[in-house]
Amino acid sequence: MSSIFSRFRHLLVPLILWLFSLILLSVQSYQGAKQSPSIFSRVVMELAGAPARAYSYLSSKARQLWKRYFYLVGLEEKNLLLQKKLAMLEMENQMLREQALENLRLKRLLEFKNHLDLQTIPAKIIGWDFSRFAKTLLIDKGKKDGIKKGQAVICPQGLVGQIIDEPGRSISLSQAPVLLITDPTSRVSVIVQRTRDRAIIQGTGKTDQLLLKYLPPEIKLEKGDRIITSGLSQIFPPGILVGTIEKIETNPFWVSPRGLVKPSVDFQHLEEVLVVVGENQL
Amino acid sequence: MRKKLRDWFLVILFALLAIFFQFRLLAPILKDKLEINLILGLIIWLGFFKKETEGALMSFIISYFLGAVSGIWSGVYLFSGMSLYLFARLLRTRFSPLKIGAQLLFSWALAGFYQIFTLICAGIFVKKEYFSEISSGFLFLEIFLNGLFAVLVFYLFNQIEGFFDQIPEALETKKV
Repeated sequence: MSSIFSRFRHLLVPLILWLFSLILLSVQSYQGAKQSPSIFSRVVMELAGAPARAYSYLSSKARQLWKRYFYLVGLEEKNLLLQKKLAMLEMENQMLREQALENLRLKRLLEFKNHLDLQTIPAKIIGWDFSRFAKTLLIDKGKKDGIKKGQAVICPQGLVGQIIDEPGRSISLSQAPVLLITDPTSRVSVIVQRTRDRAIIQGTGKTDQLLLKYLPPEIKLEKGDRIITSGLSQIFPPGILVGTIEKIETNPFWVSPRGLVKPSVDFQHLEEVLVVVGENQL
Repeated sequence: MRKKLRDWFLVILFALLAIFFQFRLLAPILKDKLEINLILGLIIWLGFFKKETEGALMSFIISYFLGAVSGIWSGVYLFSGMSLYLFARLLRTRFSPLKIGAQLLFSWALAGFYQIFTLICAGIFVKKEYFSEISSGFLFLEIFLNGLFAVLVFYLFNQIEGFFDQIPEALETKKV
């Protein structure tokens, strides 16, 4: 007996622990589901949870780092790419918008053209000269299109000017200069639509102002009176709107009053015009 | 004394990390289909290379750790863990722990014993429904994988022992 004991003596502690675990299991089984975790069990749970908490902390920090740095690096590239794409789309959108607006303007121009008893050539404005001394623009139609000096240029809003052919501003095969009615050298024979009084309208050099001169002394102008072309000059067809009276100026030293006229055409935003090349033959 | 303290520290640390790895990382991935048990390899290693008293106490504690977080009564894993330790301790003389093939066979045999024994204990002491788990096809895959992991744990702990310039007891015994 003692020899057996001495032979398995080294297994005494393992056997005791094994028996203890069996007893513990039996007690647990006896107590059934009523038991709640022991304090030691809770401590072990806490200890086992420590690496999990450390992992969670480190992974959250790593995620933050990823988001704040690496992700931002990627985001920056992505952002640049999207910005380029957005710029392209905006440009494309702008071009489409522009085309739509152009279509609308051309449609209006065409309608206007059809209502006129005039032979006209549509032209596109390709250049401006809004210097202090000259108010001219350049259209994309020239000699090969039948453009000649002195032809009237109009648009749906009214009178624009006339084709000129001068040194430095001459008509070429594919383009022609237009002297605007706002140019200080421009003179147009007009009538006040309401009173039918004749006068001359002169450019002031300002795009939003014309000067109405040589009115009859007894004339009673009213603000808003429409000024139209008289047709006397043989250049401008009659009945084309030039502008509206904005202000009337009188002076005892003047023979007749003067009127400040607001042009009916918005020259700043003008893009297409019609060149009057002749009258329609009925 | 210093070596003992270091061994205790290493074993407890590994056990906690293994439990965390097993329950927090592997379990969600494997979705309860498989239960990879790294503690099993540690208990076998303790049965192989540690003195009875020290190895038994370590096995007792880490089995309790496993039982505490297993979701079943701690006694089940405690009892099966201690049984595994005793079984490993009794079988160690039959195999040469230095050969990888022997280690694998040993590990698979003990993993099989442990898995089935745990389910039997659970079936007897907790719910008889656990018996049906024995016939599950996943059980054999678990045994296979746990045996492999046990060999990895052997390797890891032997490396650690070597790192600290310590020769496992079993190797010294073998030389003698």
